[in-house]
Amino acid sequence: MTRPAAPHGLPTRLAAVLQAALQAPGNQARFRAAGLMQPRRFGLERPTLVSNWQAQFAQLPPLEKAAVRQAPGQYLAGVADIIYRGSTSGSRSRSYTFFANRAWNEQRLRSRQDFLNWWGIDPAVPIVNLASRLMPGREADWAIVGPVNLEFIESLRAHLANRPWVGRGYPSRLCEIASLLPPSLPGVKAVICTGELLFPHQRELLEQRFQAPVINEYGCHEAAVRGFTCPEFGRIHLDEQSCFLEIVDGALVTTDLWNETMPLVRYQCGDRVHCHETPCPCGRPGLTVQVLGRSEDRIDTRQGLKMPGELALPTLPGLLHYRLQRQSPTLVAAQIQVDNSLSAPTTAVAEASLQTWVNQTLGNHTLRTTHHAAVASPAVPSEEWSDHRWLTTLTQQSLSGWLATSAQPTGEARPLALMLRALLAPRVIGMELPKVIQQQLMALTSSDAAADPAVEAMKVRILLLACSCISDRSISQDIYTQAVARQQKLATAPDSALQLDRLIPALHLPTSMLSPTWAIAAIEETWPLDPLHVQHLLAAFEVALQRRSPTQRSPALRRLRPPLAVLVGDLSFWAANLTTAHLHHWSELLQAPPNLPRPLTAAASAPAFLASWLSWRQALIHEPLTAGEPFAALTAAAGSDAEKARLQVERGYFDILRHVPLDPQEWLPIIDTHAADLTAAPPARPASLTPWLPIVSALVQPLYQQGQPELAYRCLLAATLTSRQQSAFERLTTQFNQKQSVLVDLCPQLPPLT
Amino acid sequence: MSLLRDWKRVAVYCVGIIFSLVGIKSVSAHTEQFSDTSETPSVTTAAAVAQAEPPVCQYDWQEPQAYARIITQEDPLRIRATPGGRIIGAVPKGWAVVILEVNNTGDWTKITSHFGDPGEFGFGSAPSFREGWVASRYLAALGDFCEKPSLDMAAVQLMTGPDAQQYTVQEDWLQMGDRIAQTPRQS
Repeated sequence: MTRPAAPHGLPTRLAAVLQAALQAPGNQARFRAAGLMQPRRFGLERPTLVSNWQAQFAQLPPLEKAAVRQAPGQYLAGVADIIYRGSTSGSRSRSYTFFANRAWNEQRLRSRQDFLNWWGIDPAVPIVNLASRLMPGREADWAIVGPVNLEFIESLRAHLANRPWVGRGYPSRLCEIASLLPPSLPGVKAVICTGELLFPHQRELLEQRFQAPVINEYGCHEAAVRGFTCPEFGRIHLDEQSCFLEIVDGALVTTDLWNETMPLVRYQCGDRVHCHETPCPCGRPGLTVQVLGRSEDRIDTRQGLKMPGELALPTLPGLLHYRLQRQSPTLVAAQIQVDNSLSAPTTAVAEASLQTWVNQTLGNHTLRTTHHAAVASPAVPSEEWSDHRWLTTLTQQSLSGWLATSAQPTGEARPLALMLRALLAPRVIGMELPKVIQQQLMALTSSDAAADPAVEAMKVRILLLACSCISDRSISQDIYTQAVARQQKLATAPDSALQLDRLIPALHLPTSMLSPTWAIAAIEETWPLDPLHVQHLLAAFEVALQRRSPTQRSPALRRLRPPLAVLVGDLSFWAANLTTAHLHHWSELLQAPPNLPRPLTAAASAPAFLASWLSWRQALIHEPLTAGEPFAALTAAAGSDAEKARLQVERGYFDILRHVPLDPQEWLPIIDTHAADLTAAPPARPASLTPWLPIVSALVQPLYQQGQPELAYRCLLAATLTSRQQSAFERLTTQFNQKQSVLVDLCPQLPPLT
Repeated sequence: MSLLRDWKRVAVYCVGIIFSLVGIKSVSAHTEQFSDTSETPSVTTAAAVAQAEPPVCQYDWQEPQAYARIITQEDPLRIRATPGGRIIGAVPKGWAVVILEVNNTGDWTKITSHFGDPGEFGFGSAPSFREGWVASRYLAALGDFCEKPSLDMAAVQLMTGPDAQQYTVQEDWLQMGDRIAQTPRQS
């Protein structure tokens, strides 16, 4: 069945999107063949849409997802005003990244809030994404990720404020959570299921355990397909203001009406839907559909081949939830969660009821069951370390190594270890430091001094780190003041490691707090860095950028984007030779106008390249247009391969700041030649692009203009840096919170291909 | 006959080495899968950028299977012939394995490799890997996948051609910190 165009004709925005799409090389042959593109006399004119495009539109063959994934750059229609970077679901294959502009993003937010309003979910009601690969979307939202076990539930309860909230996630993961929930979880306004098909037994379990209505959210991110069930009739309404929707032989074919950066026209998003014949009685706008599943999914049943969404997996006696995989014509594997709250022994009842359903629906099969709890809730035994071993690992070995384990110190350092985990590897994402953690932090600031001076010194270091992990300025200042007061009570004189931690927050604290801090540091001081210092500096860079708008930063940092890449790139280069002068310089970069207690100068004994670099950076900040002389001095001082590579980075920054266009033909080979020289990593690992990112970012536009959209796309892809929270999210969700198939047939008897 | 047996051993050993390379890759890397409604900034693998990808899930041996990752504290995890029974092998921490079966109590899970039972030679990087039973508490469920879930480090190339450099994209924050802390001193 094909759904014809809306009775009132094609949406008016479609013409603009088609005109934009014509600029993307990947679309041109398709558009030409469909008669949508004006013939070009010399082949050089800007492609334009034919005047009778409405008549020709239906002739355009649908665009397959695989074609875009194979050469995504070919579908870039422009590279200006890109502010959004998203990715496809990758449910059944690799994902690809798409880009969009401001207008698209505004429409996305508007459309989503309109749907949420149907359910009375205003922007102040937080949506909490639970154990799913879903980043928080709105300011009030947050996510809690990681393995679903009793600790997860405890953590969720502890972080819930005493106000309404909405849970959201993949239905299969929400069911795992629901099966562990206590009898009452306060304030649940609704539960939003997304990312997977929602089956009746899941809905029933979620409604019962969360004591809240269940909303089914459907979406295809890159195609701007969005749908929500209405409260009255539970039909999924699709947003036709965002996307032009067609249903061709049951498959959803979409045209995003707002993305003029990477327009996907007549795009097969890969889902099949059943379109309701009549409008929804609720009277709300939008085509209403039943989602049937991925186009390639088929289930062999007694009634022939069905889509997963056509089979209502019911609530069965003794079972909380279950997943089925037909592995052969005679074998179905089931992962089940038995309801242990019932008094009677339920495993046999549960397996019998599932066997009956399988036989009645799929035909006679052997049922092989596994109990969900066995593999879904790993309880990794916590290894116990001595306080000394923990302190040594932190300061002399690897922070990521420790955080990848569940090891905890056994002595008085234990609460410090828990706090450090919460700061560096949070499982609550998107929230300003959660209240629970803030309370623990306050308890730490007022706790008794540790008997072991090394542990007490580490406590001060962690408090100083904490003040660089908090966006709220006043809380941050308060913790800093208390940490410094604690430091002054230390039995032994603070070592240089602690002194440096005390100095780092000056990158984001107000100027009024700087003087006493800077006073402790001699300008010629060289600071040995340990892994904890590096994390502290990274956190301080992040929070300093968060707290200051671009206009409050130095002009240089305003133009070099992403600014975090400049700072991290500097740190990466100077980590082994870090001086107080570097901190002065970063402070100046981060703050405009600079207001430092003393002028920046290199120590007389500083190596030539460092002295030249500091002078050059001073010029770059204050007089970038006339910085030729210091740059020449820097050039003369560059001796080693790393210094020569660094020189190239600085030259790129210099060109960007004085508006000299960067030539990709020159710069791409330079980056390829020198990047490895700036990466402190084993040779087998890919090099880091971090210091080069402002240059890579500046190459996007010229590459696109020179007709190299694939390279422009790669530069766009590369020109970003992750963050502390984002990394924690990726780490945990990749391991524990992927989508799952609830019903899958590995051997459907598909009709032969014709 | 003896000669034939030796050749068989050599052939199995070679296959084992090839498999083991796949295994090594899976340990050191990081995969990406993004939700269709999330705002997860994305990355792509170098392979995704540089090469046309073959469609997945279309061959028998690539059909989705239930995977779990080995999450022991210390290497390796012992593999037993039966739940709680005789030790027959070991699997390294971080490996993604296929779940075959879980016993009635849920304490023990039967695992195999992405390629099935590797037999007496295991893999080059996991010579003791055998199909068998492991303690369930050391497994983290990953879900169903056509391909072996890897921890493939996201990478991109800026230039074309076989000699083009690969670059990490969105490097893990903690690993980046440790890498920076290990930066050798400039002379």
